[in-house]
Amino acid sequence: MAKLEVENLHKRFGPVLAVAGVSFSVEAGEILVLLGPSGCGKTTILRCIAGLERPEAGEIKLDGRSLLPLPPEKRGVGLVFQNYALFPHLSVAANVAYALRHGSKRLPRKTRKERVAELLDLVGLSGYERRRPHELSEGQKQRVALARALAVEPKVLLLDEPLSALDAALRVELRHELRRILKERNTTSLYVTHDQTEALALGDRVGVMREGKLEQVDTPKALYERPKTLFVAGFLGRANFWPGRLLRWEGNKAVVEVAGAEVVAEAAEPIAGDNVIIFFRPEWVELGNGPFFVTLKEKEYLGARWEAFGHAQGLPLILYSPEQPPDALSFQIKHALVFNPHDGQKTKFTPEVA
Amino acid sequence: MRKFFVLLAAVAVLGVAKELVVYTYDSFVSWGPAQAIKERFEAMFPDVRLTWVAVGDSSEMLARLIAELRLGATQADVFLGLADVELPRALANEVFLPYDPAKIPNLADVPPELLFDPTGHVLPYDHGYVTFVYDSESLPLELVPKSLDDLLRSELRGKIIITDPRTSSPGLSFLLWTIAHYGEGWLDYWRRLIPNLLTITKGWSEAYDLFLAGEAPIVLSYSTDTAYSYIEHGSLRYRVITPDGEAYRQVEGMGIVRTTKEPELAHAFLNLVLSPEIQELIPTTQWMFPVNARAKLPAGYEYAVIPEKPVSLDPELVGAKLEEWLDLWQKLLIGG
Amino acid sequence: MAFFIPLVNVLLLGVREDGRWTFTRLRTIVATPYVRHLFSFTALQAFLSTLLSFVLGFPLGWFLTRYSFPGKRVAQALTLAPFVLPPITVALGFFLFFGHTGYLNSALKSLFGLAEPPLRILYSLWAIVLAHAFYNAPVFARFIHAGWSSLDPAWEEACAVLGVSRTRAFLTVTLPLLLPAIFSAAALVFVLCFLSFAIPLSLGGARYATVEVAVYLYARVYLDFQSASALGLLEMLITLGLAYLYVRGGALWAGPREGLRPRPTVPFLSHPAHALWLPWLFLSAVFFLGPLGAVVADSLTRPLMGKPPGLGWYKTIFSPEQNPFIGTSPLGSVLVSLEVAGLSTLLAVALGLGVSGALKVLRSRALEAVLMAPMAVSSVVLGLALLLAFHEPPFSHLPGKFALILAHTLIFYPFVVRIVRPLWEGLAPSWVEAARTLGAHRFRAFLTVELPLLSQAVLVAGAFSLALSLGEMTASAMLSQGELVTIPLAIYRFLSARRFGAASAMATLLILLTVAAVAVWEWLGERSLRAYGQA
Repeated sequence: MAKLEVENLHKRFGPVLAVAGVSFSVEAGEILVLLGPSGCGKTTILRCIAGLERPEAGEIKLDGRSLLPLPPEKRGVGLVFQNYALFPHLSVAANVAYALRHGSKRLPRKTRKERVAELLDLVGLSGYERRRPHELSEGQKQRVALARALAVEPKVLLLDEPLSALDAALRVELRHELRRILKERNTTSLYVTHDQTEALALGDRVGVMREGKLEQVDTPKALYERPKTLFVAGFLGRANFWPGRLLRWEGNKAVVEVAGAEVVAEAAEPIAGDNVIIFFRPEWVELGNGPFFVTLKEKEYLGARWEAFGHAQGLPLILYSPEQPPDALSFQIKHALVFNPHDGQKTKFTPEVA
Repeated sequence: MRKFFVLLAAVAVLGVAKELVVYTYDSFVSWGPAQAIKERFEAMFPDVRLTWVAVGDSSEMLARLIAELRLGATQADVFLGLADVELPRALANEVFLPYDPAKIPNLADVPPELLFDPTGHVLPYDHGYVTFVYDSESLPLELVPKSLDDLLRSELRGKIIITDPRTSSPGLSFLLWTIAHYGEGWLDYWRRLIPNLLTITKGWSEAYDLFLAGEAPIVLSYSTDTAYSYIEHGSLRYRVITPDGEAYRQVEGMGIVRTTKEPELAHAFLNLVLSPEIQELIPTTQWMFPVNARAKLPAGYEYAVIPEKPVSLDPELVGAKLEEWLDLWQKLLIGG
Repeated sequence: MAFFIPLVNVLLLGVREDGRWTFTRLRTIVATPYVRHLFSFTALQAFLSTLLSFVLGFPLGWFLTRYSFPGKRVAQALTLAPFVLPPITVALGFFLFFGHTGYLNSALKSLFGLAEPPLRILYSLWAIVLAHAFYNAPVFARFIHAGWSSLDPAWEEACAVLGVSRTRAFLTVTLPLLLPAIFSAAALVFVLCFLSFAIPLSLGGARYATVEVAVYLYARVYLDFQSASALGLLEMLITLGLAYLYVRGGALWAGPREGLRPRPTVPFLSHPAHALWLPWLFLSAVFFLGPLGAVVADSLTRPLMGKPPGLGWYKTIFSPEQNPFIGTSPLGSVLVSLEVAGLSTLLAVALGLGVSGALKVLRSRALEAVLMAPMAVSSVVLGLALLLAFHEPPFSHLPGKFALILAHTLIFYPFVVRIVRPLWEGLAPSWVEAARTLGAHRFRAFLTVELPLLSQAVLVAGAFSLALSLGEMTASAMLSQGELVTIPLAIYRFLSARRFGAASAMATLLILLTVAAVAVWEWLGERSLRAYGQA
């Protein structure tokens, strides 16, 4: 158990600044998930912490001691690779025992065998000692990779999109297991993924990254209900974004004119001008009565509910309904957040519309 | 550019009506009077082109010719360079046509003892003695071999170049020489000689060029080489040895190939080679003795050595046992 | 088919006499100590050559994998040179460079003031082994580099993160995973050295004859075809076994696996410790580039008729005048080479594509071994087979040139298959299926969909074949008659007649042509593999 601190990390590859001043910390025993689209720099951060890349600037500390002068072999950090990187010429047992045999903390044969058995049991692969990597399924390989990394009892475990190669059902199953195992051993973990469901389910806290910068680090609930930037708002879950005009303030809430009516919204960030964007999730909409009116174009039946897409006064809308909604209906927005239209960064994403 | 050459070649071919192809060994062209013969011949017969083919040493060329005859077609009209020791092989393979002495008037000037083919297929054109030659500038006097046994001295390790008896006639002559000299013990001699050999080349040209380039100080060559040294280099640097006073006698011959389409031209060719003016070129190009008694030897040829005891084996014996001897020699070479 | 009938004929000659089956000749041949020694010598020199090639080639492979430096692409291309560089040019280079009066000894003599040349390498077993190592060390380097580059760098990173030292990681992970590449290369090099012809012929002298040379001598000089066939049959059994090993281990030839991160390289000399490589690099450069440099230097400096030649030697090699030492005109030999190479390349590519297609459809390991057999058969035996076949009807009506073209086609189509097939196998069947659902029948789909996708591989295979054919000497020596002389054979004859100037000029020409072919291989080959990876 150890605390990991990353301060103002910068990493450049040629002309591209992959990591542009990222700071966060992972408390002892915590699972922090870095979430973001491909190319946002999250894997690079992991590799810097592991010692496989050298950052241009910034600091990485483990329990207060800087890791930067140390080579990867001496950092006491474990890494689970995206493609597992299991040694193809060694058996499962030999893979798991590898560090215990060749690393800096070697164990005698008998102890090794015991430790391997214990680890395989932990990941649910008892009895697989003699198998070879090519004989395993993707999920099984994943578990061996995890066991191998845990064998040396690293102070911090880094996981690089470990579930991305698996199919959906397996992913769900394994992420439960993963969380269970990590919590059982109280391992400080830094987990990287682009799958938001995974992030929200696995992480004690989640950091959303975009283009080398950390947009917001918070608990999953806070990220979902109180995103601090437009990007975060749109990245997690479903979102509606409507441009509007700020009319006045009522206490700390803004009254915004949008689509011909008024909405009361909380400020997610300091509001600069009159032109604003309001953000609300489909589930924050109450159907049936209200100042807004929508014509629905498409309706999808998803079993647990209906999702419908349409336009209200020309603005795109997604909403949920427990039963099949009529073609046109009115609604009101019960809860919303208000943002500035440009947040200063290039907005690559577009709000989800039909 | 290439088109021009092809055109030129085509014109050359078309412009000349007839061709006489002579197979010989490479040193006859690189050292010998081949060019002079060609010029003289083409002057005599303006519409004929004389073509030399010389892609190896004598035994190799003979093998090539025999193979071509066996497999059905050869372009050769004349073979020049048959050593007397190879006569049985050539006759057995029916390589030659009998020549018509009436068409070769210059034959009258050749002493009868040099006519080594009683069956009338092959004529001599030069003769000489195969022996060893050394470079006096790199071989100290005390190491100069005076007998065949001296060649076995350990100080001479890696200092002797000889040629392969299977592909080269001087090489074959040396082999026969050791058989004649040592009798049954010849294999033993060779066993002890082999470590002293720098290499066994395929042909005389290669061996001699290696010698001249300084790769080793002793080479198997001909007894006229001192004359060569004197005439060509103005010094007596390259000297002939006659171990035990011996050297192996070799007569070289030429003949008309059985399948020739130009027998008249072939005869004319043979006659030209035996003419005094060509024969007088032989000593300073072939470095052998001419066979025409009327040909005069050049100044400096007093340095050409004639051994006191020329050695030669009976050709019938050679014909019968050669294959066996070569086989044994070859096995010795590889198996040690 | 044309391959098998004459070949079987030849081999049968070894075991039949007077129309009856007999193994006596085979037995007597095998029984003689001479032949046993011949085979054991051939195996010994092949083994030593393979060992030395490995020792010289491994560091080179390591260097290429680990470091980046200016001119790396050229260096990588050069590792392919031994496959295409004609061995006769190597032999010539060795003469000129390592001979007692060669460039190296002359340089050492003047540098250290010696009386005698210090390096007496030629005319010994070591000359052959060294020349083979020169020739084949780059093969090892290439296989090791290719194998190493296709190793997932994540494995080494995992070792580092797991706390394992670099040396240990190398010994326990990298090296075991490189073994397939190493064994593959070793098998290939062993076969190449076992079947080597031009180098033992010119550098060893009569004492160091290998089986190939012996078959040639029996067939062309002593005219003992039955012994030649018997020897050839024995040889073939051995090399077929080795070739099978190569095929099994040969998947590495297909190039890097898709989806892998390229292995990171360190710029050379970015760290002072790198300087330790420099002496080794210098010696290697001398060893590898010396002989070839000697050939080029000789062609430009050897006096022609007593004067500095400038480009004089090059002019002579294009002369249409008959040259007695080679039996035809130099220009003639150039034209013959070009014609034979051109036609045999076209045929080899067509045949190679056909065989690749057949193997794709029929999928049989046994069939593959059989169809790839020409790769393992000695060129001398193949030449012998065709030599005899072409003197009987129906082939005897064709000019001898056809025999040589056929020989080359048969020798080189397996290379085409080796290059094209992995790519073809990897093409998703859905493209062809799409074409067919759109109405194109099978062959048309091949022409319009598969062939264009394979086009770069075909070009590469073609360049390869062309270069190999230009440099091929063994079959040419066996089948040569009259004016049917190719460039390498002309070089060999010039070399034997010690006409070094002409030999060097022709050899330089060959070297340039083969380097061009190698460049095509490297440029197009890599692009086609990458394109496949992304498709």
